[in-house]
Amino acid sequence: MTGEILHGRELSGPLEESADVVIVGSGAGGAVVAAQLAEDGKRVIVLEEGPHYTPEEVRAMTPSQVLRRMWRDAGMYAALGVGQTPVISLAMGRNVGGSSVHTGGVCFRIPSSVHHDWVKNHGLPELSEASLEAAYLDVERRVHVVEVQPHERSRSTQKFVDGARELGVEFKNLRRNTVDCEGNSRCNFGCPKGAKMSVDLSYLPGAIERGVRLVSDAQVERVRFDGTRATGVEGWLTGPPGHYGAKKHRFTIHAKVVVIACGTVHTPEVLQNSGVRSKHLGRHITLHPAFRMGGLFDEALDPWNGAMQSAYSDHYEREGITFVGMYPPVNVLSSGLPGVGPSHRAIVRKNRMIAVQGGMVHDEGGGVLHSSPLGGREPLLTYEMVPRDLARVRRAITLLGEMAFAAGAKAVIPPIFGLDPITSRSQLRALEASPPDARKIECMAFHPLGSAKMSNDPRRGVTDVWGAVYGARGLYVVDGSVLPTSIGVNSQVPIMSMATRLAWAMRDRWSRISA
Amino acid sequence: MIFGAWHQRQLGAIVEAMLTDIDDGGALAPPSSEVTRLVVEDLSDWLTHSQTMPTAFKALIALLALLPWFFVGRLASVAGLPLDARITYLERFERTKVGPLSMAFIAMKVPLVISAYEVPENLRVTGFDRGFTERRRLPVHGGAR
Ligand SMILES: Cc1cc2nc3c(=O)[nH]c(=O)nc-3n(C[C@H](O)[C@H](O)[C@H](O)COP(=O)(O)OP(=O)(O)OC[C@H]3O[C@@H](n4cnc5c(N)ncnc54)[C@H](O)[C@@H]3O)c2cc1C
Repeated sequence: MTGEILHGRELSGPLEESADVVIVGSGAGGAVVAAQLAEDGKRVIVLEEGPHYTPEEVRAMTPSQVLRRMWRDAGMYAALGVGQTPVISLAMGRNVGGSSVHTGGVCFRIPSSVHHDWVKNHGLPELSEASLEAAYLDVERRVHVVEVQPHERSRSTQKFVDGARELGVEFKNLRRNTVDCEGNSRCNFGCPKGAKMSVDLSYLPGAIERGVRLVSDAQVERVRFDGTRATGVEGWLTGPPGHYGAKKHRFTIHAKVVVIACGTVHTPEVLQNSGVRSKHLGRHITLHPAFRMGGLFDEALDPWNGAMQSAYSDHYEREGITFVGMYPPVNVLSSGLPGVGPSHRAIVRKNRMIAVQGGMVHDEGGGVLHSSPLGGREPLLTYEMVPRDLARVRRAITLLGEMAFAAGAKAVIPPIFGLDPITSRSQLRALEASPPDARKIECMAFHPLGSAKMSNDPRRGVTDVWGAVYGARGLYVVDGSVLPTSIGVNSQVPIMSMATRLAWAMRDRWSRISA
Repeated sequence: MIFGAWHQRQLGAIVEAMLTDIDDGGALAPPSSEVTRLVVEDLSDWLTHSQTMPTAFKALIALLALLPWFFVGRLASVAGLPLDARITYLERFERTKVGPLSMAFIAMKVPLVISAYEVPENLRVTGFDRGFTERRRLPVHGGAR
């Protein structure tokens, strides 16, 4: 079989094909399994709901073009806050390569403390740190994980690092999956250099050379079964951009093994449509709620020059707070600056002097998926932030503000809608002491996890520790949804490593699982 | 264009207020009608890439259009307010202590500003020194640029 990328939207009729394995979703989980199984000689078909864009096409897009064409729901998907919870803007890719294409390149392994928790408190000895070591090494080699050097930092990040040092808080160099990053600082919106080794550039090209067929614009609706044995999938080839959710032609793919890798927000829907029942499906979702803090300095920093993410601090890990450097494109940053008309213009003019730093909290998880109330393509995600996590968000905002002041900022711009810049430490502390309505906090998330979590006990999870769905044969889940808890760090390498481990297990048990 | 005439007029008025500057003489300087039109058209295009957002966004426009009475005590739609009153109205809307209303405002402001500041004459205001798709070389930190 010849490997290739087929643009589903260009096909003029229904599609029916057979393979050893069909993989639904081409993101961090799906692409890795596809490559691993193709290397083992399996005939693999990957189905991806989103479109395929070449790196050259992505480079030519403005940030808003990337948002509308490649981010889920045109970049406007959000988790609806329940009670005192901010609305959390949830970024996900919907394209060949999935969310991996839009990362800042940050690479972390799962912290030892989380592995320890999984082994000791969740009864998952198979998920020890040692058991993932070989997979981590394999992933880090293939996606080219390198340490960002201090000279690659932007002055924006450096300001916060300096301020933190004054306060006795250490920042460390981040590791990222890049080759020759030139510091264009817009990783989330299409790297103009093509320096980021997302799965579309690292795993998929080799997989296609080995015969993988990837169909873009192909939205899987359900898994086909013969009794409890999965036998393939079916769904719709979708229309061109601008016709989101439009259904053109049906497709059916027959396969011995079915792997669902649609990501945390979409995997449950496919499983539910297919008759998989578990009280844990679509629940316990963690997000790592994240936020940014601006520091206004009285010198030009040209903050957009340098690696978008280069330094992090786990100083407050025990309090569930991680700080990770970030910088959004200037129009995206401006959209969060306070004011209307002249007052907004005045602060937009100061962009050259605004340093930005990000933070996120290691959340307990209160995300639940529901079918879309408006009947559209996207499921509704509600999220209830527990008081502990809300307090963490507020504390992290204060800490970031203090770092900015310690670095010499004249004012800080907290992530609170409509709040004017704050010019003193006492105002900053007052903000934490008598905080505004939680729904005024500008919050985002990039790491949804846990909607089909693994467990050794079918009463406590959706899949076993090898990703096999309980109650079905030949059906696997391999994406962020299987992680048993929040991990407190960026999730691409953890998901890719878990996918590697699960693919190796499938390879080793092939004759049994495909029979 | 996904918006009908009424929605276009209200959205255009919001865009105009959002992008108004002060000129050298201290007077309000609204953007050109061409820039306002470009942003309204671009938002319309953007929303066609989502299935549910066109409906949600039209509801947001209606909400912002119809609340001047509550924030500035005037019985008019946002498009019916003079520019200075419109700016005051939208500023009060953004600052409201009522979390859900403030969120509704931001849901409108975020795509509007992102789109508006891709128009070259607005992008220049930010001080960003290159086009969005251009590349640069990484300088040695602290050294000459
Ligand atoms: C803006 C952004 C920045 C990020 N930055 C970082 C970072 O710096 N470091 C880091 O570690 N992580 C980062 N992440 C997170 C990381 O990208 C994700 O954790 C990871 O990609 C998730 O992998 P996944 O396989 O679970 O899902 P995804 O990578 O999202 O892949 C799922 C794919 O399945 C497709 N799909 C869904 N439903 C269907 C269906 N029914 N039929 C067919 N296809 C379907 C989707 O379109 C998508 O392409 C970032 C994410 C985003 C969005």
